[in-house]
Amino acid sequence: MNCKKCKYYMVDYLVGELGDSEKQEIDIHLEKCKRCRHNFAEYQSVIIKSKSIPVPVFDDAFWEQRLRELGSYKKNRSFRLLPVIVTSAVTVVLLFIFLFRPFSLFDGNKIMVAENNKGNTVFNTLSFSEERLLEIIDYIDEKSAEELLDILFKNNIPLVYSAIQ
Amino acid sequence: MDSKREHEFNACYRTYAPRIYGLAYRMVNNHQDALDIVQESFMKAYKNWEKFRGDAAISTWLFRITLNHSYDYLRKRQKEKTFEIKRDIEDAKKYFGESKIIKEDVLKIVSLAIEQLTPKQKAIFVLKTYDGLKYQEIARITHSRIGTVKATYFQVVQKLRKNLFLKEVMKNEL
Repeated sequence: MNCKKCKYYMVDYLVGELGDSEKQEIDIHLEKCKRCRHNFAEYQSVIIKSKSIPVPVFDDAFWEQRLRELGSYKKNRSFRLLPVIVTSAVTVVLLFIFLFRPFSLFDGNKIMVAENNKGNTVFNTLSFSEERLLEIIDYIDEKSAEELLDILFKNNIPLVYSAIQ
Repeated sequence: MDSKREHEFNACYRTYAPRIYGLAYRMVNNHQDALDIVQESFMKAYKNWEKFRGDAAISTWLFRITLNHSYDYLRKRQKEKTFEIKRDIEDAKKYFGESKIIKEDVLKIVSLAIEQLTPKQKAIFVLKTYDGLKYQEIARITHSRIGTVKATYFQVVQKLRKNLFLKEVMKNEL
């Protein structure tokens, strides 16, 4: 152990970071070397004086109060999330309505036929003429054709009248 | 957070809050700032409670969070440049009374010297000197190598020694 090595390790010695064998080497060197003893004393003094800078110390009641304050802050943070959650939920509902439309908002163009059919049959505004309708009806059986015509005329389904050619 | 976790968190707060405060106070040298750091650190811990993997001690994790918050405060203060280095004396008088202050001039010089350290140097010095942590633990907390921690601590003590003894403040004490 020389003075250079001793100087480097004496701080570690002072803060409990040296193993027993290294500590012993330093002890032996310090016994012999006055200069290193002086340095060692200075380092020791620095560490002791540094530790003497006080930190405020508070009792358990103080920290319980701080914990309670933290608790109310946690609750406020949850509460502040509520508007975000509500807004998100409303947005999802509105999106669902517009995308899937379980009911129609434009009933003027759609006719719910409930009387003559067992279920609800929805017809769009028919964009073809009565003539064409009669042509279509040709392709279904007579009974169905009669029923269809009944429905259409009973409900005043608007037909687009093209010029009869 | 369920009640079991809430209970764990509260127990953790009661155990570590004073130590976290001590670390924060030594880093930022101001009571109110240190208290804010404590609350912010525990709030962060609370938000990330489920993410804590348990691969390090909970104190390591808390110290790390606290240091990060302390660095933020120090950076902000550096920008504002409003902080005056006389709080140590005032705070010490406020909390401890005159009789417990050893020597005002010594205290002042040591405080000033510590205040001039970089945040990382200060963190290593505080964790070693006041918390008594091992170099390995400090290395984990500060994301540094053990060799870096050792060398940094040695440099800081050298610097303090130079400030105290070359200024002849403590020459007669030995």
